[in-house]
Amino acid sequence: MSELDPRLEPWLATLRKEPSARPEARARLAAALREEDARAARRIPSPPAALAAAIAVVALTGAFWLAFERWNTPERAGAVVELASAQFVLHARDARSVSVVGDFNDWDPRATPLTRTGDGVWSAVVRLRPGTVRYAYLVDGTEWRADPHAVTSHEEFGRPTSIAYIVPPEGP
Amino acid sequence: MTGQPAVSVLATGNAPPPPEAKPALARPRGGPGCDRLGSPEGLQDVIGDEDLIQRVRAGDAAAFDALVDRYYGTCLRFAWRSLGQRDDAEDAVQEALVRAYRALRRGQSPRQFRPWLLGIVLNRCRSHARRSRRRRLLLERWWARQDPEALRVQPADGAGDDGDIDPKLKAALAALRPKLREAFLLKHVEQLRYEEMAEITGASVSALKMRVKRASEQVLAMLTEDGV
Amino acid sequence: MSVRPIIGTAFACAFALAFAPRHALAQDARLYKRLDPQTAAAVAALVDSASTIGLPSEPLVQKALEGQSKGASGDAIVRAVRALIRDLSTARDALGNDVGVDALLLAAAALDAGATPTQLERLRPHRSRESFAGGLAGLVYLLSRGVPAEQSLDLIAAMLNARLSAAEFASLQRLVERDMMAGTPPAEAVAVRARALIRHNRSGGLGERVRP
Repeated sequence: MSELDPRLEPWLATLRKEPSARPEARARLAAALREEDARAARRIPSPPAALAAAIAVVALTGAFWLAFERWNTPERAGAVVELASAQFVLHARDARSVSVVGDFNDWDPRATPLTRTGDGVWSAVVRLRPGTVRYAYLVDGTEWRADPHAVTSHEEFGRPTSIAYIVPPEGP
Repeated sequence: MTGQPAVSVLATGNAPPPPEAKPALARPRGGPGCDRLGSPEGLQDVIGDEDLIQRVRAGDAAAFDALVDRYYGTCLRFAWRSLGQRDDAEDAVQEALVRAYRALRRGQSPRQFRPWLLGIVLNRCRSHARRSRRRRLLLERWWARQDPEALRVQPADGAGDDGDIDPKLKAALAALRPKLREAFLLKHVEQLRYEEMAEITGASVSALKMRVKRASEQVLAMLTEDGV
Repeated sequence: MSVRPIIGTAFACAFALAFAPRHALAQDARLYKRLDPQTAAAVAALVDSASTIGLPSEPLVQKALEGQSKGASGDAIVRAVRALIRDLSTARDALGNDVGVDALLLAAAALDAGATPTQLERLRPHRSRESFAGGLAGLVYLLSRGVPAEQSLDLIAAMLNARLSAAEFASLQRLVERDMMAGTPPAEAVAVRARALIRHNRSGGLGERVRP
């Protein structure tokens, strides 16, 4: 056990005092626990109801197959969706190669290289399905960079990731 | 996925089956005239944690109320000292208690309720700290000199709140790295044993001892700076 | 509690049939091609359980592929997939079961950027709007630039109420970025541009369609 410096004692006495609860906080807690009770009650039906429900579910599975299957298809894989054009741009004067890596190319660093358009600007235009795109730039195969113009960027697996939202092309 | 406390180490794997339903306590939660979490009469001093836990597992909501009465102060104290803000602490404590309730109802049976519960509070605090740290950094950077008319008033810091501690002490705690602060609070304020702390933090006993020692040194250094 | 196993088994059978591995197989192939067998199996299991509670699988698979691409350890990948499941689930609790994948992903990003589930719930009434995901993107943008959460929500809710289109939300970001680069403080830039868009829309600008 580590020895406690006696000079800390008076401070610890302060720290050890239990603060009193605020009534509104306790009321919020009471409400949250009531909600939990209600949720739990919905989760556990009575035995006869449970058996009936189980049989109904199994019986209906066949009927719901098509609907669920369609819903469960990898998102927007169909030809119905109109693709939008997205331009990826990165300023990287000293780079020898730049690629954009993200959800749309299964995070394959080699799939979407950018072309140098001069004066340190690299770009590529990609046809993407509209929606949320997560991606990052990979410079010289080793350095990951975020997109300064993305909706937001954060660290993921210790490297930057950017999120963009590709707007659906305006309809008629 | 959601709702399970992060630590199940303290729960016994071979918990006894829930006892036969004991008569429910007098007042169900939320009944008429019940506008705050009150302790059913006589329960507080007579029944130990073990029995209350068994009752909660058997479906007795009021038994959990009694546990809350018993431990809310502890939870709030740890969360507040950990997070530095009362509002965040209350949120973290609420989340922790709901998760604890859910876990008990699902059959978890911790050997020692207090360390187990503090472990859940600790995890909620860590989660809160991660979220608010990012937010505060951004706020400081961009909103330092904004026109107050354009902005909604930011919630007060909670300083000067009843139950809040001396600003110097608060600053000393805030200056600690989170893991040091956690260890310090668990050891010297919540007064857990190192073995209990190891179970709920996942760190080794020796690492925790080192953290407590360092934290104590740093806190002391900051508090005695001005020769107090 | 003996009722639970019966229901559990029944639902497991039902879902196993409903969500038969036809597509899971395609996704599994990518996981097994890129990840080590142990990690691939762990992620595939997580993806399966997530899909049984109705969460989308593709973002989870992509998260794992991202981890592999960035050289993360198997543990880190599994942790990240779990965290995403948790965030998507929280987002869905806040917004409702009928929101699309894009909205869920952006809502999860909003949670990450500091919004609370309770705050997100304020946008729930707008979830049928076609520009809902665009609005959420706007929300994530504002949060990431340091606009306080309550303020961000006020603005986005107002913009959704004014039936701004996704393109108009995107233009908000563009214009604010431009203003900020010219030196305008973010608070001002955001407030000015948002109000302008709302006003423009009220006077008959491009609107958006609400899904029936």
